[in-house]
Amino acid sequence: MLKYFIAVSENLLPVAIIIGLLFAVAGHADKGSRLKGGTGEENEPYVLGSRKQKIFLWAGICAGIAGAIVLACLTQFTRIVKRGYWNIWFMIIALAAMAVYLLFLWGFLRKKAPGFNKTMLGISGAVLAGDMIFYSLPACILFPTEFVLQDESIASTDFLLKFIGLALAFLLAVLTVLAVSKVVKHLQKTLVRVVVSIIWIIAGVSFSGIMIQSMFNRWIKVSGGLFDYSNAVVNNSPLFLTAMFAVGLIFPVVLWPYASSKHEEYKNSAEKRKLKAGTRNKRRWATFMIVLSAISMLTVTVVKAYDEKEVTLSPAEPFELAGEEIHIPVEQISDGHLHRFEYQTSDGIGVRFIVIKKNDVSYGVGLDACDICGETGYYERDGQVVCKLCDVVMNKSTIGFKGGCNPIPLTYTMSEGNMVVQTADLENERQRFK
Amino acid sequence: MKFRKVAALLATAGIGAGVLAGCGGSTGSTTTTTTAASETTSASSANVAAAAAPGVEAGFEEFPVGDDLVLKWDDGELNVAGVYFQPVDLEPSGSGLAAADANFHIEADISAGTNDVGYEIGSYVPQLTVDYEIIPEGSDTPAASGTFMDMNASDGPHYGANVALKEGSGKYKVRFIIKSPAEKGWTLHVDEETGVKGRFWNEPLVAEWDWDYVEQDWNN
Repeated sequence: MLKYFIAVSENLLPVAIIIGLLFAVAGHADKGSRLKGGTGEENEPYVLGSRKQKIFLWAGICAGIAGAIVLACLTQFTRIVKRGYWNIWFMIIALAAMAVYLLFLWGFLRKKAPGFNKTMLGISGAVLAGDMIFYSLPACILFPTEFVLQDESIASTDFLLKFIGLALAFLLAVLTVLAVSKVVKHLQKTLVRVVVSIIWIIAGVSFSGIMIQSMFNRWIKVSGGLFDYSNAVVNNSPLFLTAMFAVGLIFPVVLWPYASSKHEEYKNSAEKRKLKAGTRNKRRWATFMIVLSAISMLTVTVVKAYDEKEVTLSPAEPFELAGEEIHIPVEQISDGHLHRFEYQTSDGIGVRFIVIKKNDVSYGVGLDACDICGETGYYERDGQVVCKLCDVVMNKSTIGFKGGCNPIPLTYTMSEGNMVVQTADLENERQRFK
Repeated sequence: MKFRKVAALLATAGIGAGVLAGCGGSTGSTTTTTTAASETTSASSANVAAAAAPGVEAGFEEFPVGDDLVLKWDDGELNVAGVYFQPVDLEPSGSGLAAADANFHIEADISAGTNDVGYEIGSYVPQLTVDYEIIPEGSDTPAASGTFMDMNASDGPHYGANVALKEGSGKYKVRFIIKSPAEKGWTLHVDEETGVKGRFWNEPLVAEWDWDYVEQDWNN
């Protein structure tokens, strides 16, 4: 569940914060316009947004979703999609749309042609939103097909949990869009411009890394400086996402005092109550955005690090060495759990082997290594034996037999209440543990 | 939208999720290498009979780890090509890392060069044990290692594995350590009438490349 929650969150959250900001600008009606005697209408200089921008934005989002569904279907059912080439264009379009958007956000043609300025703001925003959805959504749509390919029934608990992880990430993204748009649209124009610009630059650097990396081996040869730059950017993408949310926190922090209705005039107690309710509502959205930002930042950093934490193998257990034989008392290994042992060979190599009771009469005994994954080892998870490297769950009944990712079988005998393993067999396998 | 309305919607969604959850339980640069047992030379693809890519379909992209190499031993040569591409699903499932958990699928395409042990030139060399190591630049510890499985793709048999490289894009050294088929019990005719003149190699042959790995988002 966690794995898919993180993966989908990493895909959707950058898009969510960008679309939230686009909605915020499209619906921007600075309170200052009213304080300064204005009405908050879109033709006032305090107001960045317009109804037309919202229409463009929705059109861009719908086009992006439609495109993503088509691309997901083409990826799944045909072999005509080379995502690397698509990604180059997705990133070029995103970077171009962001640059145009910033130009008109800062009022490039505000004085000469204010209407055109807002229209261009709307069009570039719509292109950016559609492009980002088109880029990010197909993988999220296709994640459930991974569950099925892993031989999981749709009716299984595991499938359900993975699906819940995926659904929660979608929910987090949608709520982020909502919270960002609700909080930012009330703030001063200059603050909105400055913070949006900073977030655009952070996102732009991240997108440029993806673009260059997608170009390697396709449009351009791998070269030193560009290779180092794109590696630094792409390998640290969670930090860029965290930075976007961290900068975005400026909005709710500023909104909290700014939302106050103390200085606003009212004619009667009913209006006063309405103003107070408005303040309360804005502050709740501000708090909500802070909480969502915290969840988002933790998801791609702390939670991800926890989820990817390397499994530590349980320590080796003691055994009795009798000449050329290893003796392990039956009561030590008859609980149905995985037991690990380590024998030091004559040249000082630690050869690990595992023992697990399979049923009343037999044990699974093998090296703590397999032919495919090497000496990576096995661990017990929820009563099952799992390969540490490839996460394949072993069929307990087949441990002790050759094949696949099974532990390399080790022969044993039972004698006088002990399992007996020959040290010569372990000496023969020592090269696997070098 | 009022905050309370959203909160109510969330609570409903939360209850729904809880009920549902309750229903169940849980082109890099190239180097040449010389080892004690082998001579290695870089070869152009024109004189190396490396296997072709499994997909000539439009959606398939294969990237070389480096130039194809020729590994020599006293009685023959092996042509070795290293390529990587999108992670692939394998059957039976459970044969190594699942495609969903891997960053790429890496292959060793190993075919016979001139030799005195009976291989047809250009043919796939079976029953080899091929270990692989992917070592970050400046480190001695592999970021990924293991033993390739023998497998068939649409272009024929090869040695390969799905690999997860958590360290991401960067500079690596890639090694394919190719052990003699004799280790798996492959035998040779040695009689006068039908026997071969040569013998297999005793020490593993090693193909090694400096690899500028560019991580790919295969589905995104």
